[in-house]
This record gives sequence, C-alpha cells and structure tokens, in this order.
Amino acid sequence: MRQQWITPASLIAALLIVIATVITPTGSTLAMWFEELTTDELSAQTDSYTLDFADVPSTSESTNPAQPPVWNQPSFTVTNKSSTLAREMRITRAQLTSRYSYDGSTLDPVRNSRITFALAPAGRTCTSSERKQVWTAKETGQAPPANGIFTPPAGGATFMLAAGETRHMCVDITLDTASSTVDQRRSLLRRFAGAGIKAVTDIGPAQTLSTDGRESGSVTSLYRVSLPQPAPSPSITSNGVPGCQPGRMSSYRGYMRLQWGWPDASGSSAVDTSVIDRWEVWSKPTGGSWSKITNGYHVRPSDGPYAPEHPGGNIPASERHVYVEREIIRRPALDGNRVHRDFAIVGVLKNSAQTRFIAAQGWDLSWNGMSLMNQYLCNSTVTTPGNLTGAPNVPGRQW
Amino acid sequence: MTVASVRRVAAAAVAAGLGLVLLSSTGVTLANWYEETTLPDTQISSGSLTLEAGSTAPVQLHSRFPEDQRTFAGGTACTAPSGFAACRELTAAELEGQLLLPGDQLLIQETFTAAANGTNLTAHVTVDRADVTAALPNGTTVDTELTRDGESLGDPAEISGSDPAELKKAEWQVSSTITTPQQWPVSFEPRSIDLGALTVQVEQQAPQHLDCIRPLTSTAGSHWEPAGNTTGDSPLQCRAVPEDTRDTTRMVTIRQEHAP
Repeated sequence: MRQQWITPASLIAALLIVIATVITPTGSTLAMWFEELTTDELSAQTDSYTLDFADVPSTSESTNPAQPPVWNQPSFTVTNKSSTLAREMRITRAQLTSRYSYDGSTLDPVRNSRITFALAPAGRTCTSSERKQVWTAKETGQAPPANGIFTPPAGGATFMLAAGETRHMCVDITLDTASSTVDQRRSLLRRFAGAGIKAVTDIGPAQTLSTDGRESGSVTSLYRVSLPQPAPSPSITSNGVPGCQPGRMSSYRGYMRLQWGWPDASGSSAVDTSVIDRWEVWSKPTGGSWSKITNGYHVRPSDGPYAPEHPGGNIPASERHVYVEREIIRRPALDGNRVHRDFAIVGVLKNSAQTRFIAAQGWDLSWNGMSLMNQYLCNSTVTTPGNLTGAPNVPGRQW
Repeated sequence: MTVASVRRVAAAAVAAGLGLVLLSSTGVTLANWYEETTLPDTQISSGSLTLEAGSTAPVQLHSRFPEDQRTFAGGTACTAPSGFAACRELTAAELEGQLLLPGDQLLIQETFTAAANGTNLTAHVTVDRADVTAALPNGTTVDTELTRDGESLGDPAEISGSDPAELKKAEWQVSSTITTPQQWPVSFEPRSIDLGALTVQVEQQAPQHLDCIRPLTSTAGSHWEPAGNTTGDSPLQCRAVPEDTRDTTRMVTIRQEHAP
C-alpha cells in the first residue's frame, strides 16, 4: 500500500524537475528588456596642412665676363606638406633693399632694375630659363620707397601649389644694362660690380589652416653682382712677371710701371668705371705690414721728367696702371743691397661705405739703391694675404 | 477521502511546491512582474522590446575645399551641404584611408527599427555617441539627431506598447555630425583618429503611476475649495511618476502646509 502512493508522487516530482530545468528563465530572457546596437568603430587619419619655405643659396655669379652670368640667381622654395590639398599661395609683400647706399641713383641696383617673382617649372630650379610670372614688384627706373617695401595689388601675386609639391620661386633681377656680350658684361660690371640686393619676401597661403603651425614665411634672398679682383695685366711683362715693367730711370728718380686689368685681366684702361671711386696702391716692406701709399710722390700717372703725382695716393677710377717711384723701397746708396717690397692694387667702391677690394696677386719689387747701376727689378708676383686692409679682400657673400 | 488519498494529494502538493521553487530561480524578475500586478489598470500580461539594425549609410565627408583642390582616397561624390565645397561618400574602409583636413565635417548615419509590444510597456530609445572631441582639435562639435520616419525626436525617445502599428514599423535613423574647426594645431598633423562607434539602446522603463491633484483655493473662511469653478469639479492635474521615484510624501506635505 505504501508503494501505491510513493510511486506516483516520485514520478510527478521527477517530471517537475525536468520541466523546471528546461523552462527556468535565463539571462537571455532578461536581456530582452535592455537591447542595444553598436556600429563598427570608425577611424581616419589626418593630413598635414603646414608649409615650408627656404632660401636657395646661389653662388652662380662669375667674376669673368666671358663666363656669364656675372650675377647670382636668388630664389626660394615653397613646400606644401599636405598630401591631398592644393594650396593657393600669395606673396604679401617684398622688401627690396640695396646692399650699399649711394650718393646718386645711377649705381643703385634696386632703382635701376626690374624685379619680378616667377615660378620655375614644376620639378625644376631657377637655373631653368622657363618661368611663370607671379608678380612684377617693380619696373626699371622706379624709385623704391624709403623702406624698400613693395606690395602686390589685392588678389595679385598668387599661385597654386599642388599637394606635396615643392616649387622654386625665382627672384629675377634684371639690371638696365645689356649683358649679352662680353663687352656688355664688362660695362655692366664697371657700373654694378659688387652691387647687392636683399629681398625679404613675405609669403603665405590664402587660407590659414593651422592655429600654430608654420604656414607663412619671410624668406631672405640675396642678389649679388660679382666683384672681380684686379689682376696683373698680361699685356706687359718683365722678368716673366705680368703687369710689371721698369719705367724711366735717372739719377734722380726711377719708376716701375704696374698695370692691372679690371674687371678682367684684359680690361682696358681709360674707360668709364663708375662703380669705382678710386684705386690705391698698398705696399709692405719685408717683414713689415701692409699700408696704403698716401704720398703722391711715390705713385704717379707717368714716368716723365715732370710727371704729376696722384694726390693722396688716390688713382682715378678710369686708370689701370701706376708708376711707383723707387725711393719707397729704399734710400739711394752705393751698397748695392737689393731691398724688396710688396705692392698690391686696392679698389675702392663708390658707395657710402667706401668698400675696398684687393687684387688676389701683387708684385714683389726690389732696388739695389744705385742710380747708375740700377737693379730695379720685377721679381715676382705675390699672393696677397687675406684681410690685407684689415677687412676681407673681397666683401662677403652675406650681409 | 481515505488516508491514502490524503497522502497522495499531499505528496503531489510537495512536488508542485518544489517545482515552483525551481522555476523561480530569478526571483528579481518575477518580483517585478508581481509588483506590476498590484497597480490598478496597469497590469502587464506579456511583452517584448525589439531593436533591429537597419542599413549603414556611407559616411559623408564634407570638405571646405573643392574637388579640384583636394584629392580623396576613393569614395563617390555627393551633394555638399551649405558652407562646404565638396562632399564624398565613403565606406568605413575608405574613411580609414582618408586624410582629414581642418574644417572637415563627417556625417555618420545608421538606421534601425525599435518597437515595444505589450500592455503598459514603455521604453526609452537613446543614442550613445562615443566622445571623439578628445581625439580631434579643440572646437570640434558633435551633434546627434534621432528621427523616426523623418520626424525629429528627443533623446531619449519613448516607445510604448500602445504605439500604433505603423509607428512600430517605422524606420529610425540616428545621424551624428562631427564638425572640426577650420584651424587645427600643428600637433594634429599626420596621426590616426579613432572616431568611435554609435550605440543605440532600448531600455524598458519602470511602470508609472499617475499622481493627480485637484488644486484648492483658500476662501475667506478657514477651509479649502477646488480652484476655478467652485460649483463643480476643477480638472485634475496629473503627471506620470515612475514607481521607484514616486514622491508619496509631497501631497501630504502640501496639505499640511495649507491646512487651515
């Protein structure tokens, strides 16, 4: 009898356990009350949006009129660092100032030149003759303002810079002097040798994209006309020494002719050389130091009996020779001792700074002190030391 | 009834009780349901919430630079909105290879459907936009808009089991517009930007009570009367209050303050 009721109860309990196991609520059922959908994560990258500017130094100016150009080619690069965005660029202003100041306007290279900004072809430099004009800053003869600042008209001086591109911006300076032939280039140098123009160009994008990154620049470019050094003229020689020749000798005086060429060795004398204020002869005794010969007695334009003197030792710009009187080497005496002295030609530019430039080669002359048995000799050429006058023999490339 | 019969019934009852204990292993859920049954006219007999993903629209890149000035990595052209010069539709993969620039705007759009089915069942639809402003330059703004069948909704938007059938089938769209400033610091030059994800959530709301009051006004005497029409009932002013936040003391307090 006990079996009769326990068995059905056990079956019911087991059945309930199975049912409970199957239908018990689970976590997934609860999740129905809080559903969410999430999209895939998105990501991207940023591009660059700054620009770079850099001067492109040029030392292409040749001191030899036979090997043009006799000026360098200033330029600068503009680089768009963006990989995807072309930028509209604009020159906002340019300050154009001459290296030296001058009393008159004839020699001022800024006033006497046409200055343009132009792009070299993509992938090429300003050594290419091809150009795309961007802005004519000034025309020849146009007097620059006192501060030298030129501003393009509104909307002018713009150009496009492709994504990732570096372009060369050429600062083209054309002096108002022909320069096609060697003689024309000599003429140009006689007027503008040593001239320089500093161009400070402000450039930036039409639209600024960075709060603090570099997008604009003020690029300094230097334009230089070469400044050749005087050179011993090969048209006269003595004892194998170019540019040196004994002059008239007497018991009272004796001369040595020194001749130089400028702007090149074959440059003739007696031509207008407006860029030069004067020539000077500097000399140095053996073991001594260099100084200018300021006594006109020792530097004369000729060797005649009544030869005039160069007052103060200043030789006119058009001259290319001088007669050096022997007494500067030593006093006359019968000892026959040959005393040596070095001589060098120094040019002085006609600017307010009176800039000097020195021949690379001078002469070593000697005299034995005897009037009747003169041994007044062109011994050799000598290489002039740097800073002969205390300043560099040739003005530096930077200023 | 015999003794044996009594024992059989008792055993069956014990077994049934054991089964109920097993069935009620998630007592919290059941408690919730049982609580609902105590509310007048708000019983929930059954219900469900549905949230189904729809289509993912291409991301639109709005550029302030025209196509002839800017190159894009893939994508197709689209119509630029006002203030922008170009538009590009991009897949997620194309966006990953895209190089963003100052002033760019991204429009990210997703569609979905959301509905509640069940008596007295309400839920909130919310959008969680990962904060990308920290990954982008200062001044970046993120605007998120939720629409149902083109109609703008607040966030959160409420759905109910009593919504009409056409609303339950309506297409929802979430639009997230990320607008960067037109100038960026240089520190944001080439780098990867994590733009995060959009999350749409549907969350059941606790059943609500209606708290109603009938405003009273003080008369010259020392008793209170219904406001407005003193000869009739003034309208009840009701508001829905979630059960778990219901302030059952407020009305008592008011009465105490205004008690004559």
